[in-house]
Amino acid sequence: MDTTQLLKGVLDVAVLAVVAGEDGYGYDVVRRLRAAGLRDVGDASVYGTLRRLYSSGALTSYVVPSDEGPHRKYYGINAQGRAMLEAQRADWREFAATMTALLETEGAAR
Amino acid sequence: MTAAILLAHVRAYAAAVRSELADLSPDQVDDLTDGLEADLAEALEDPRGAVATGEIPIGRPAGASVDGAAGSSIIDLTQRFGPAAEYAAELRSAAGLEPAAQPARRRPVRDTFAAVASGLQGSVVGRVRDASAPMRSSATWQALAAFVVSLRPVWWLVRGWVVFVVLGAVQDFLTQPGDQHFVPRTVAGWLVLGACVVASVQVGRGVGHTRTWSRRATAAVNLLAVLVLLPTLVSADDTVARRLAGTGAYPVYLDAPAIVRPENGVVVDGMLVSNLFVYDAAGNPLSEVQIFDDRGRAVRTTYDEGQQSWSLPGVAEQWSFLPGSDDDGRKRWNVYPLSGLPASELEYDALTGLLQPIEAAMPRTPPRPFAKAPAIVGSTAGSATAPATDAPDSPDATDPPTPAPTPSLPPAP
Repeated sequence: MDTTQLLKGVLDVAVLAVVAGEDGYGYDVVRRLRAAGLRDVGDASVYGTLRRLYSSGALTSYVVPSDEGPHRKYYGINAQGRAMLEAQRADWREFAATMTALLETEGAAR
Repeated sequence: MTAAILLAHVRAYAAAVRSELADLSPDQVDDLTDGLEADLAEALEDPRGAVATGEIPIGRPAGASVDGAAGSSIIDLTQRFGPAAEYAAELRSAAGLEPAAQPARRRPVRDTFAAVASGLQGSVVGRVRDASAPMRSSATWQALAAFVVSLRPVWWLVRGWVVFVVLGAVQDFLTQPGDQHFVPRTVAGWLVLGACVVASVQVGRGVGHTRTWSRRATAAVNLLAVLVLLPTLVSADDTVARRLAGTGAYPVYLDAPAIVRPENGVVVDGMLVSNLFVYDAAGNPLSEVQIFDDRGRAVRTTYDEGQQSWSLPGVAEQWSFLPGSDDDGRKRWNVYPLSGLPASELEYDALTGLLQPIEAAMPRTPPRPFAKAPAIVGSTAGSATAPATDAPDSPDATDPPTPAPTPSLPPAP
């Protein structure tokens, strides 16, 4: 199965979950997602998702200057983001349960 | 590998990504790519960098044989992140922004069509871009491009005017068909023209240029203006020429079918004459009279050498004429009345393709308008003795005067 397609649907909630754990900048979030097992996640997809979540008001953002290189843009979750994360978490549980039930039943019938 | 060199490459890649987002507003581009350099640099230096996609993290030279310094001194960030265009597209789609050339997913048919079109457009544009890259990088091209760009305000003005003309044409069409207006005649017209020009210039300067639909509308108006411009100019030129012609101040040349007037022949009352009938002072018809003008030139009525047929008044058949001939055997076409033959006594010669009298044909004088003309007062009696030696008259000769004969060809103008 093409997991990149699956990933597209859940990248929002995954990014929210990572940022909810701790504030992070772009590549930091990528690294944490990959460390969590989403190895196929694309850098630019994560950056774009962060920007979109920020634009929709689910994340806060602040810039941290760096002495040795370009500045980093950190993202943190806010109340709206937490609400969104909770809602999507519930959605995911329901969806995952439905899919699991469906696939298990189909597998048993065979 | 020093951090500075790495950073320079990262900056270049980030710039390439930003240039792929050039259709977005500066704010959007900033929003999307703020901090991109830091993320790129860190991704490159991450020893646990994404191996899943097969990239080679700079921080961990690929392959044992590659010396760290030598192997990584050639940096191609597209190996790690992919082409900047794809990177930008991913960034854009993840951020929920529409792709540069693809419409929102709403109508399957339109989407398919648009996808094919944009694919074609993309490949064409890409090929043109690739093929013209060496040319475009030349100094001459740069100078030319800068020159053309400096002309953009002129186009804004022209575009405003074209929109004004189109609006005027639409209004004329809706109310009453009249002359197209290329220059406003009323205060309201000037206001409309001013509004069109201001709007065009403002759009050209990028006001309200952030939304996709407004960019598309601008593109559509540009296309329309380019298409309409040439016909409009031609039409304006025509109108000006017509008005100038109306003033009579300038000569105006019009294309019209030329009316070919016969250069030769005898014309009476605007009508070509086919034959002349001569009467003496006593009013008696004469025959075999040679007529010359004051310069001694033969006066000829027909120039068809007997090949055309003429309608004669009151005669059903068409006639063709025959020349007289002088002592030397030369044909004389100024001997009047011309004798001739009705069409039934002529045939086409198979060899020459010319009309020839049949063997039994008897050339004769066509019917006269009248047998006798009024006598001239004070005429000498001698003329009255002139014998009428002409060919036998047809019975029609006694008919009352009839209008002049008309040739069947060419038609009288």
